[in-house]
Amino acid sequence: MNFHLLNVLVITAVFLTGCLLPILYKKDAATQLSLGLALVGSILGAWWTGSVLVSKQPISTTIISLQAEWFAAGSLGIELPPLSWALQLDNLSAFYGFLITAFAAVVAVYSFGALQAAHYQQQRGRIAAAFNLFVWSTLMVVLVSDLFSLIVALEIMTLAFGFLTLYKHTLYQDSTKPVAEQQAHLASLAPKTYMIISHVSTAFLIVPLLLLAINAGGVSFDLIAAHKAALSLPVASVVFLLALVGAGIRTGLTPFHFWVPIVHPASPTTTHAFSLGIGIKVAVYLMVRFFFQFLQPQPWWGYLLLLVAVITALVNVWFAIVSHDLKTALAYHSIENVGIIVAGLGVALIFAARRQENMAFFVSLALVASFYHTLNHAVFKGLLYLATGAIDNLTGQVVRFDKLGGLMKLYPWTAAVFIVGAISISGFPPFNGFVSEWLTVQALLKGGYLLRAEPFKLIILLAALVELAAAFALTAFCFYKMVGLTFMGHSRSSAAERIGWSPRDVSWVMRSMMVLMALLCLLLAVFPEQVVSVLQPVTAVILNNPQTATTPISWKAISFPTSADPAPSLEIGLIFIVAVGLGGMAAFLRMRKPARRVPTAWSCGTAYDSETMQPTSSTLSFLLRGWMRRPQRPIPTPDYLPAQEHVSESKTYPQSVVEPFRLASNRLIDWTVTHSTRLGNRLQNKDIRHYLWYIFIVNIVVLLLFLLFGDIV
Amino acid sequence: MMRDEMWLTILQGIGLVVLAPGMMGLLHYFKAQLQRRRRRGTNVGQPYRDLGKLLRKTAVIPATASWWFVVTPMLLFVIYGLLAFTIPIIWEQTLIPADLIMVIYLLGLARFVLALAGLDTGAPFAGLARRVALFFPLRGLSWVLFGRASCTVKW
Repeated sequence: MNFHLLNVLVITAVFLTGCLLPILYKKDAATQLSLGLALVGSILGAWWTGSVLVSKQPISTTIISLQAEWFAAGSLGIELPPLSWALQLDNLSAFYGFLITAFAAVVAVYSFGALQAAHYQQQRGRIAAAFNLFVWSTLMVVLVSDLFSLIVALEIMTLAFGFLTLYKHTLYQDSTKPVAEQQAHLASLAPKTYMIISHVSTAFLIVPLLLLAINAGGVSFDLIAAHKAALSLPVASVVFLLALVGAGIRTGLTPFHFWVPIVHPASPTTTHAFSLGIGIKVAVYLMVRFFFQFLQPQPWWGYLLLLVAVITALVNVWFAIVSHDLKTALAYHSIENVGIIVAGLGVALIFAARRQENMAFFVSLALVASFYHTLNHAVFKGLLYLATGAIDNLTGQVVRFDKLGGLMKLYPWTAAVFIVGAISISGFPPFNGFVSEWLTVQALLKGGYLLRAEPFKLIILLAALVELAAAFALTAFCFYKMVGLTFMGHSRSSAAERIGWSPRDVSWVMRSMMVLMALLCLLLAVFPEQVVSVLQPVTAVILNNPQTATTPISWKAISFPTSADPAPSLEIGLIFIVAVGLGGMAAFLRMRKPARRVPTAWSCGTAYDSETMQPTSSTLSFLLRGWMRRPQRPIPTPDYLPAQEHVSESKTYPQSVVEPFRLASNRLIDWTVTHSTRLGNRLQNKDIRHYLWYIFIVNIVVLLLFLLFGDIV
Repeated sequence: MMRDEMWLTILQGIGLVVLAPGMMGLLHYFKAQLQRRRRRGTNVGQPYRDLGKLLRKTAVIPATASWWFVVTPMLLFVIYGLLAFTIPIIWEQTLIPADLIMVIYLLGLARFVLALAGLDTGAPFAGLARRVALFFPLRGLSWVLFGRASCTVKW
């Protein structure tokens, strides 16, 4: 038994025990033990996959390959592919496996503290069980190496997360307090939406998988990759498009993004962090496997992918800005980051399709940008979700912007780490978001340089660049709004509403994990070259080109071939040193005298009222809401009431926007269901004569098929 | 980078930080001189005097503001100071080798920090003004990058 197989078996045993334990024993100790097992399994997995990554060698090993013949060969006259269960470990799966397990370990430790909150009381065991299964199945998705096992692992993952999305619905069912009708409706919608969406996605994925399997004559990844040249061009394009739609639905690329903000906020916030930090990017992993390993890239694929990606980024950051609660805004914003990650893949695909000798470096660069952003997004979005989970616990599940405010003074630790996360995700220099956004922009600029002779393609690339830059800028605006409404100013809810709020910050367990992630945000920015040297072998495995691993990408090398420009480079460590020096100077100049506190800021001479006089979520997003506005209640007519009364009347005036993609897909599903039912009813009309006709027609068709293609079968 | 050159770049950065108020004074002086009525204009050293006076005075902070409001001026000083070490003005080399994207993002960070401080007081008007002040420069980012891209492409 080899080392890797032993690891897989131990990890599987640990996670599955952790899954079964709280289901069998409903004691609190079983939950704690289950979380402990999740932690042990994740640390083991992180150590195992991490050791592959830090060796910095392109590795591709088969862990296990079991095959079971369904029928004795030839007994039916036809060959069926053997039922198989195969696992492999290469740098790509090790990279994603490391992200999954390392982040799961953080979430597991955090959950020890977070699941103590009152609203998790009833469902603690279930959440721990489902979390174990979810982490294990996500790990399996990136480890399997045949199509059959891939589908099975994806389905287990779907079920595990589907179970988690039941959380809020169950909470409202059990709650003794009355729940707003709209909230209850959204909570019950979440599991249904997730099931429908993931089944549609699987349906779209199965077809390209079958086409690939038919071409290769088997289901193992190696076989498919070996036969990719034999795939004819139209079939390859169909495979690409279907796989793009299938994986795109799962990861939420734009026409299909609407399910994410419905489904994810309904899951418990602790696992919300895992599912949106990593879980959703498993589909991006599938894209890498499909587009780079199973298919030979065609020129137009990359442009299509790039366009879809930038549209995703722009649309979702817009929705994140106009949404009115923390969880929904973060869910939308996760998809924006998926857009940036996929944009890197798109640029890599453009270069890869050109198939020239010197392109390998640029493909590698774009892929590294994409992977770096995957890593960074897991870290900073994980941090933001952990902080959101903390707010969720502290305020008793109040996450609406119009009820928050002033948390900075109440909970300074949570506030500080959230601000660190916000600055990193906005891509501002001392933190890690800047590095990967910089790399993505450099990859795009380089693409523009390489394609300078082809105006049409150049225009697409430049448009993508401008749109991405707009998305980066809007991200900053989005997080300004989030941080400003949540942490700054004064509380927007009344003292009566704040009775359930915790007087102290979260426990040390949760705090330490948040601080750890904040430190990682900084470290990933200060040591980018080390990170890139780990990521390069991953691209070498994907491209099957060991040379890309040995020629290191240095910052100096990412310069333009015309040496007119000075080489752009990145020295965040230096920035840090200079900033500390300047900061010391500023503090020396400024901090000597304590500031004098005046009661309140000026408010036109009237009495200051923190509930009505502060900027709200609606006013901050006003500039961007534009034509998509949908007032939920009629605008109150100014009837010259006394000032105070008038203000208090219109204080809870929400502005929501239309989600056209959701409406369109609802229409589509509605139409499909109606018409297919009608067709089914017409066919199945309980008339024996019609049924006899069907049998006759089928017989004729089968006979004809045998006549025509008999020699093939 | 040579050792002497590093000292030059550090001197350049510090010099820029120190000379910046003087530049402002100079501008004010020339502006006054160019006006039609021949105003005399203030002394070039006036901004230094203002700064000294402001640094001696006690800061006034509303009670609603948190620690963010207190650290914002220092953060802004650090960020704009970093720009002095990033942009080559006298010598071609700078202490922090960076490109245009870095400069823009540093400016954006300064806006971000300032805008949050605007919301921090809880005052109705500070937030309003900051929202606009953040929103419009951010829209410029894409056009600057577009310009950067079109510079690299020799048409």
